Amino acid sequence: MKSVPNRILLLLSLLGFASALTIVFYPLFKKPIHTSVASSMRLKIPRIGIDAAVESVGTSPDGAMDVPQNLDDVAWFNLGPRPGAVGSAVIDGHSGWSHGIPAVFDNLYTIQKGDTILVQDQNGITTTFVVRDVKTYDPKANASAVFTSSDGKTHLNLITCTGPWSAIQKTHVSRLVVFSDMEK
Amino acid sequence: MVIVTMVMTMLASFASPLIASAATTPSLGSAATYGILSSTYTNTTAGTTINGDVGFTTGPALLPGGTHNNYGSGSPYATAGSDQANALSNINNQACTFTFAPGAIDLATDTTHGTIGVYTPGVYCTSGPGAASIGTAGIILSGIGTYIFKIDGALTSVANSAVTLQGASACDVFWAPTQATTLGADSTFVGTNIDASGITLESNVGWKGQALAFGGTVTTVVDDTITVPSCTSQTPIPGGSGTAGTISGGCLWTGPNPCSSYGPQPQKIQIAPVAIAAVPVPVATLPNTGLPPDTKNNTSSVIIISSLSALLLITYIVRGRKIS
Repeated sequence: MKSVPNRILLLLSLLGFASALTIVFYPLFKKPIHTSVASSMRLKIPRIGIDAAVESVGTSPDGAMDVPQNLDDVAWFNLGPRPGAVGSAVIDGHSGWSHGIPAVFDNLYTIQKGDTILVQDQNGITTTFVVRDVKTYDPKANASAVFTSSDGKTHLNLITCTGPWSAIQKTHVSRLVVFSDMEK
Repeated sequence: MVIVTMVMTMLASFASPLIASAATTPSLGSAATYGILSSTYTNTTAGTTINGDVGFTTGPALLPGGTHNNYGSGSPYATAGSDQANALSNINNQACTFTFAPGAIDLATDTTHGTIGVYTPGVYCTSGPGAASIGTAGIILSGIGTYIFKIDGALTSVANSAVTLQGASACDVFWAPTQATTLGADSTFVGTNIDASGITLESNVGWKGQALAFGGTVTTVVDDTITVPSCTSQTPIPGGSGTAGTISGGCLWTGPNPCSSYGPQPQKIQIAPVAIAAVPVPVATLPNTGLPPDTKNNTSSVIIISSLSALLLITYIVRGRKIS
């Protein structure tokens, strides 16, 4: 340290502070990815503070349900029934953090049986669902119980990722599925 | 007097079928409830309202407003596609009551068919091939009956044009172009358009009818409104309900399409309960919704870099004092 000239010390110090400031403030200037799209349908889970716009998705090329474009939004699987129609409507959302901000379903794991899920449609009509069960699935598991039902009742199922991150598979090792039934 | 009455009755009995055979309203079956029936539905801007079912396999980025009992490719989407084809076949089999001169035709300014801008019930056909357009002056559909426009080409309407009903019903108006349909901004349109080549609505189009493009693409731009007309007696099984399971017994209308505004009255027969099967919902694999953990935050990096910088700064200040 004694052999380093004073000017170099000052320069390194200033560069260090500049780097720290860049790390802190860079996300504020980067194009935001948490911006929500305009949508007339909303999903609300009051107890855990979720209130999100609902996008509409089908399947990705690999046959998986597609995911919302924005981290603040959730997405409805438009090849199945709409929320409130007979059958199993499915909505997914991201979990994890981006630039210090949690994604919409990052705390979905805290949901409990008996919690209320609300879906407000484009006409402002709200349908209420009550959580019946919470399960974890392997990503490649048979998901027919998530996307279909044959009891003639109205269900809403929520999906997000859970478990450790697999650097090899580029995904979390499990999927969290919340099963709910329309309130009678 | 008796003879006169008998002759008039005979004339009436002959005249009625002759009028009815000019143009008849085809059955739309399961497609009757769809405001949009397509393979791809594109809608990227808020403000569009569809009051009726919306069918597609590739859906829009933005959900349209309005009320839809069926949305997407669930039942009766596939059946509606077949029924659309049947309705188009019915239309194509109906003889033309008037054929325009070969080439493109502006329905608003044409005088060869009758009064300029005014159309009475019938089957109107272009030839040549010939596209059809609805000019700024618009057209009036005048009188009770069925209107069919068979167009051997594209159908377009210019901005601010209007199709106006004068005694006609939106349930009895049909358009069957062989190429794409484009409706101009701020225009008003009426009737069922069967066009698998594609249907595009520019901004702020008001349409009482149906955009049936099963196998093709329907595009709405912004602030468009499609409202399916109320043709309640066209419902095949009044009293029945449900998309899967068993339909309770009800009444089935037979005979000519009861949505048609004239012609013989439909007959009503009692039917037994019937079972229908639900179209299975496709099962996708579970989505990958997780974010990689390294994007969580960089708090530790900031602390380490700031600490090292502070250490360097303190060393610099201490050295400066020693020198002075």
